[in-house]
Amino acid sequence: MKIIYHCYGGSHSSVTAAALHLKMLDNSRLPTGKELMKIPYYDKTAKDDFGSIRFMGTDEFGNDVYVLGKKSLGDRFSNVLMGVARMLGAEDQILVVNCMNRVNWSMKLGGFTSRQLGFPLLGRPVVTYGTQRAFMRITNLVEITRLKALKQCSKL
Amino acid sequence: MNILFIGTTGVYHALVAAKLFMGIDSQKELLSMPELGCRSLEDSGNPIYAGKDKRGNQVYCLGVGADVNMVKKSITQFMKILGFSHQDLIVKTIQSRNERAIFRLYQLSKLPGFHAIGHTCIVWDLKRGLSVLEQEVKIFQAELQNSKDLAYTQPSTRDD
Repeated sequence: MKIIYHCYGGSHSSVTAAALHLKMLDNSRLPTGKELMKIPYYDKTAKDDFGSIRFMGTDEFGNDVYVLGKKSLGDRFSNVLMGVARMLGAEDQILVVNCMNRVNWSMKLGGFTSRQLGFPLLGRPVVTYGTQRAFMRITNLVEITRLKALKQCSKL
Repeated sequence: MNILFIGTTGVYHALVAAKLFMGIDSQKELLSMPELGCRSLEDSGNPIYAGKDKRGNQVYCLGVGADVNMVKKSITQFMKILGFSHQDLIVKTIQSRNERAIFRLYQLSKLPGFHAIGHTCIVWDLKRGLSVLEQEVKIFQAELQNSKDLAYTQPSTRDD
């Protein structure tokens, strides 16, 4: 199964969720700034990366985990991808997860300053603080997704 | 094979392009389709099934918002990830000269009391650009026909 976490820029919340899913981060405690920066793609994407589906790894059940930045398309993007999967007869092989409902204002402001305006020195501490504050909510989303994936895999 | 026309909205230019592709070329018929400007179809975000052409290709249209090329990139990568190729699905972007304005007009038409004006303006633009759209679809059909690695033949025109 393929699991795609998506958010506005594919740089913070979706990357954190994918890292949690792949157990790159310990879900029992808040990550440090250094730990967050070690995650591939965390606060490292460029404008050209919008719309690119990037591979993050394979989980212990063999599910491939990807991240994606889709600008402000919201849940519509999940419907677009699920609709295309349905067209191809592959909707059982895919799980598309919108991370935007777990994003707080610090993440939005810090992410915008770092990635869109190109001032990582200013934006990075804010987005890191925001990610730490949203961490448990993102963990919750990942746990729900892992359960959904297990359920869907058992149906196949 | 599936063919997907994508545009800023799926219920105007992309829908008309899909119908033109299927061989419907009467302006009256195109502009009186019940799906034209249908908000519930558009807002679902799901591909809209336009029908089957004479060769059995399934034709769809889809509205993807302001950044059509970004979504095309995502869909193309998504297909590869799932193990499909352009033999299974071809994505054709439909971009008109005024697409930003059309997108804004569509957003405006969602507001209470503004549906009629938004719809009328978009249909007016559609009428004005219909010949260009027809030409674009013809070129696309020719490209498909000339493509050696596609199991595609041009759909015959409607005779029913």
